[in-house]
Amino acid sequence: MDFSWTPEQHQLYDNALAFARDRLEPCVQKKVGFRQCFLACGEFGLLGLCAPESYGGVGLGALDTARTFEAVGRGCTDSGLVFAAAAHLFACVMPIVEFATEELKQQVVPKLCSGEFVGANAITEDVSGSDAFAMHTAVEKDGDDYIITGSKSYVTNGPFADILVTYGTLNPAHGHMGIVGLVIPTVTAGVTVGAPFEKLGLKGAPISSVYYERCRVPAGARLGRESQGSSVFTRSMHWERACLFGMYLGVMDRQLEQVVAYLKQRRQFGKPLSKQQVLAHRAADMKLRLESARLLLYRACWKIDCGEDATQEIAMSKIATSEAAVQSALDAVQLHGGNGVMEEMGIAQMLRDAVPSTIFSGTSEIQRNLIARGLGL
Amino acid sequence: MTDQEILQEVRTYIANTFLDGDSKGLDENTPLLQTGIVDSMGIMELLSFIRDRFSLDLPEEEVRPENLENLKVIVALVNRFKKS
Ligand SMILES: Cc1cc2nc3c(=O)[nH]c(=O)nc-3n(C[C@H](O)[C@H](O)[C@H](O)COP(=O)(O)OP(=O)(O)OC[C@H]3O[C@@H](n4cnc5c(N)ncnc54)[C@H](O)[C@@H]3O)c2cc1C
Repeated sequence: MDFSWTPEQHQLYDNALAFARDRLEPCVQKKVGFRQCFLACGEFGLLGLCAPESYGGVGLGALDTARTFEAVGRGCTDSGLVFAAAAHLFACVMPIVEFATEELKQQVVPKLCSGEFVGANAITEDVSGSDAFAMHTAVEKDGDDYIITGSKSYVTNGPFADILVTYGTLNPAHGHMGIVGLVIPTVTAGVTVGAPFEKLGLKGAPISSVYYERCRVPAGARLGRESQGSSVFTRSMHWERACLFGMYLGVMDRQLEQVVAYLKQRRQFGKPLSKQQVLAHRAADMKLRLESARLLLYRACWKIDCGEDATQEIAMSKIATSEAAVQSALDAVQLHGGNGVMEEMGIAQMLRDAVPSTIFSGTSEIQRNLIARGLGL
Repeated sequence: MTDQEILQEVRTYIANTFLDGDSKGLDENTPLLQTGIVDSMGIMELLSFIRDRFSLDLPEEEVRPENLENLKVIVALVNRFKKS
């Protein structure tokens, strides 16, 4: 077992941190808009980190991809934007890279990697959230075409999306094996995108419903085989659950730096807060939680890179990282006292951005179900 | 192995793995996919069981719902792809 990074991996991290601090953060502060920010991400390579170089990607494995998101999460305060970039990559670009026809890959992946196209993943419906494969969106075969009718909720990037990786059922009698994944350009006749939702956190990520009214797409828009939609989606969630959460490691690094500095600087009862052992212990627990999550996340990514089934490792990593993000954000608020509640410190925003992490990409309960299943329960 | 024996083995496996050992109401026509008895993770477990137990040479393109939707079609699948 070797825990060291190569010089190239150090360089990758440093470059990503510099990009986040010097290029992306100013875009966020200047409020240049979502598309402009996305193009900046594309220019750096963030939107195609694990896509092959032949399609305009960077060709990294899962571990390096997650670590790059870690650096960007540390360097950029708009976690919503970073989340949007990650959702685009893992749940739209990657299923296309891994399951689309060569022709479709050539057509859309380079544009998705550059940020010219914004990608989204549409599976959740009002009736099917955790039970994702119980969806009602219907796919009908008509000669060589597919016709899709239904509606999807909570589509990250929906309001700006050019490409929607959409899942529907060809035959409800076939359960999860009746699910098919289709690549649907938003300009397709019959696609309507709803208004962006107001939400608790991750505000930089635009999210909306998407409606499909007899949208026709050719057979070439299909991802994998007809019965493979659930596997295509599951695979994309493996990428997302493992690598996207690298962002939260970076956020927790930044948060802990801020907490340590604050505890040293703020004085009460004639001494710095850091000299109150109860507070120092709370910071120590934040560190412990962060490093435990980090190890689980790296191991999950390493297992993906080994080409092994990483379902269990990914589920553990997702729970550990997201729940650490929520708890540590609460701790950070508490340690900052009133300042933790004020917007200008950025601590309150970290809490709001952490809360959704135990819900998207499969809730903590669903991850625990997967782990229990692995235990034979 | 007779069809009946294959059916019995797969039925016992499904009951033990997905139904807490309760095979009541699980007959050769019970829809396994539609009812969610075998879910998206379960299908991998079921496939690996039938591949190993009956030494199947099962091509990926045969992993279709039509071939796995109930015990009857699973028995037919086993018969078609048993290594001779
Ligand atoms: C910020 C954000 C971004 C998202 N982006 C996308 C996107 O891009 N595309 C997309 O398709 N979807 C997206 N989603 C939707 C997300 O995947 C779902 O919200 C999630 O899967 C949970 O589904 P639900 O909201 O319907 O909750 P439900 O499934 O209704 O769950 C409610 C509660 O019940 C629990 N629960 C449900 N079933 C079980 C069970 N069997 N055992 C134990 N507990 C259970 C859940 O864990 C949860 O606590 C996003 C959600 C959020 C918050």
